Amino acid sequence: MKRKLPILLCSLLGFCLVLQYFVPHQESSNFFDRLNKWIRIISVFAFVIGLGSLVRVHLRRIAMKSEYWRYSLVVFAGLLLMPVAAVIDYATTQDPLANLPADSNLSVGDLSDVLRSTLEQQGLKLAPKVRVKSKGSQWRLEEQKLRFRSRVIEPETISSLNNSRISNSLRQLFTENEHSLPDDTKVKVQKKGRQWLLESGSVWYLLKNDDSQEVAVWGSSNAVYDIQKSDNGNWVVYPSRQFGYQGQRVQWIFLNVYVPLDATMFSLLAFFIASAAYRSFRARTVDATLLLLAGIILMFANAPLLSNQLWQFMFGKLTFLPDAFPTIVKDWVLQVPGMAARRAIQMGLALGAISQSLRILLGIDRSWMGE
Amino acid sequence: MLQKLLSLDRRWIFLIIAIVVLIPAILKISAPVSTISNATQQLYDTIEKFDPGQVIMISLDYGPSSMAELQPQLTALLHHCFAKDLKVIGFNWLIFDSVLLGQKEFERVAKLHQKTYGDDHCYLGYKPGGVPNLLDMGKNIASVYPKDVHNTALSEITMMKSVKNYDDIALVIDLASVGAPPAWINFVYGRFQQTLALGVTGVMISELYPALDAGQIVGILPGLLGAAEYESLIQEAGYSSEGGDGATGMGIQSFLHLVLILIIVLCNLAFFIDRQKRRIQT
Repeated sequence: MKRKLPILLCSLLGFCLVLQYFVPHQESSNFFDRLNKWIRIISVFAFVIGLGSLVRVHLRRIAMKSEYWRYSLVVFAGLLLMPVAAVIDYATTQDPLANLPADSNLSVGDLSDVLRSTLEQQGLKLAPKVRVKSKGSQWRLEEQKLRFRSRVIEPETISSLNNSRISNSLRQLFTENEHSLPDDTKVKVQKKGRQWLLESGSVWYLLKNDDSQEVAVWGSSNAVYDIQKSDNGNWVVYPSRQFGYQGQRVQWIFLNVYVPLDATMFSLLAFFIASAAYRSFRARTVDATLLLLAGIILMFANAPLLSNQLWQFMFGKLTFLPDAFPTIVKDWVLQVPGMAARRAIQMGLALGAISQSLRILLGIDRSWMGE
Repeated sequence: MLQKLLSLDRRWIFLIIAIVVLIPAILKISAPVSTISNATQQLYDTIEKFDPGQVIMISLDYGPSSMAELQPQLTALLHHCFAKDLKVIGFNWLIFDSVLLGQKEFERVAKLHQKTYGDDHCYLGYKPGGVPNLLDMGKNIASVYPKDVHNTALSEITMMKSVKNYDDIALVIDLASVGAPPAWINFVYGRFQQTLALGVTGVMISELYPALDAGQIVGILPGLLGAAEYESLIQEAGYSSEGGDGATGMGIQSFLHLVLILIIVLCNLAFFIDRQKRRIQT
């Protein structure tokens, strides 16, 4: 029974799903939806099992002091680092920024001037446009886009940004449009092509100087604030609670530790491929020679300095050859012999998958049960 | 001498590769492409035909290990979509590593095109569940992603009010470093006839040409070269003035490929001469 029941369940559900595909009835569709939900729920447990398994294996290695057991300590350090950083992120974003009286007239839409001035008196500087949103029994403030186009101004307004400082004329421009720029030290200035990006905390401005020498300015902010009712009835404004990926510490660790480490591990492949190519890419047989030629053609065509500049320099005078000859040859290799071989492989794989699936459904193949 | 060359210590090869990669990277030698492959051109033409306001969905199925190839593709695609006033949805159904990579890039490029979160783009984040998620999204995206990555209900996001399922999405682009494309082709194209395009790593290209030829996908960005080609197309059309990582990567790739070709040719020359000598001796 211990073996028969799982096989029976697997066969029954498998055949039901095959039949379902061909039955265009609402009940059939509902059955499929329900099973899909089950799969999604069950797949979450894979994370729990994976975590449990990881902990068990490495605890055992540490306990038995097996070879390289110290690396298991690093695993646990990494495993704990991210959740701890997330918890710290979560805990440290809870300092209240400002308070609003209990009788504040909060409503969905634009932030009223009265509420804005109350918040600004307590030091909470908001973007010019702020939307109020309902969030259950709480409220949320979301800063919105700023946009204006200046009068014609002198060209140095933009060119002075080259020195990563903000000119007085640019400050004047913002003031005229009822907005102020923070201190130079708090603004990060970056050139992005023909545009300039000014970032100050969560607020950013984009400056684009078009041909008419007008400066178009767009700005926006990602700042979001939650307004919650406190025990004494007042409304308290917090930075929006950001957990997990949104936390600054988690982001920092991910972008500055995990990303470089993962990218480095994969980059090592380039060295091993080069070494392997040197040792084994030899034209010993006809098959190996064909592989070698195809590889060289693809490498040559995938390198613009070779397929364009070097090709033109070496064979530019051979006018009977079409333009972009290496790319044409590469496309042909991929789309004719390459594709033919790939199709054959895929058809073989598909037939293999069908026969394997039938073996599982019929209970002939029981490898999925660990047998 | 020949024997020495044939059994060269691999550390010398490692050193040569390191130098060849580092010098163009430090000097930022870029190599803009002048010819565009058919697969890239087809994807560009497809997006070019869309009207402003149409919705593109980008699935990011890669982690930091392959971001060198796929992140420039994402950047170029976002530039094109935002410049054409298309609305873009980002999400991750297979690999959670790429949530932050994608989210940050969406925000960065959106800023450059003055696009607002919620109105012009949104990011749904990662949901475990695999293929069933893709299938359920064909009926109702909100059933899989009731909230976005900022924890905002989809019903509160302006651009998502008019998007229910794949019927409301003009094109799905899957940027993948792993086995995600077959799932998209088999399940989403197969069941919903959703228009699909792919951006993949260099090693995956050959296995996807049959799908392109069969019309199951409308275009492929082939690795870093695809990113550089797309950057070239959008810069020529004036959609972006930002120098992309694709062109810089092509500089490094060109030198690396040149050295690899030289190494292989040299090794084979040594091999042939050595074999010839042995034959004469015997």
